[in-house]
Amino acid sequence: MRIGEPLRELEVAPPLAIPALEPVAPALPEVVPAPAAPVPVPA
Amino acid sequence: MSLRAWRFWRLTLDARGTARLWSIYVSCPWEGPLLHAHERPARHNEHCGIYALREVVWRLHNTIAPAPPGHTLLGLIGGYCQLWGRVVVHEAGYRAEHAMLEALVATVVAGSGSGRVIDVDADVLFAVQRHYGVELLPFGSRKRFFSR
Repeated sequence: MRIGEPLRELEVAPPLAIPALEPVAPALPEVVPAPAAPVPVPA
Repeated sequence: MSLRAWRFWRLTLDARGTARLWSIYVSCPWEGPLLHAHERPARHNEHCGIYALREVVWRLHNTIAPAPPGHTLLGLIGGYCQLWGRVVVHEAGYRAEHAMLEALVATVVAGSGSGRVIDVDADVLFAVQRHYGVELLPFGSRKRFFSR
């Protein structure tokens, strides 16, 4: 999903009714981070 | 008051025929209607948070993740979620600390970005509706939910 450039940060209150369905899914980042730089191999 | 936003999920079936939702770019299952980000999103950190869009779109232009191991990818399903906690507002969407699935549109499209509608058994959609405890919206009302 292309969401464009970040504009500002908000603190948003939770919805009035949140289902009590714990535990929730393991949280992961939504976008795969760039791969780490390759480790140099000694010649 | 929380924010309402639009997003897509991958809709899959496992070997037992159980339908589940997954994030579209990473192997992140939505076991239930709630998902919490691993850390609070911030403007300077572009990878954190649960992504969603401000407006209803029906095509994606990015390559989605393949089906998770042991699952068959049926297609993409769109719907609404409530966002709260720390939310970074972007030009076209959000990255949120918390999200709760609220409603799904009962139409599945191909993951290729073509927007082609995939024929999915209605029982699969009803099973997803029951599991996540959400509304199932007809395709024609997909945009009206924003104004409710």
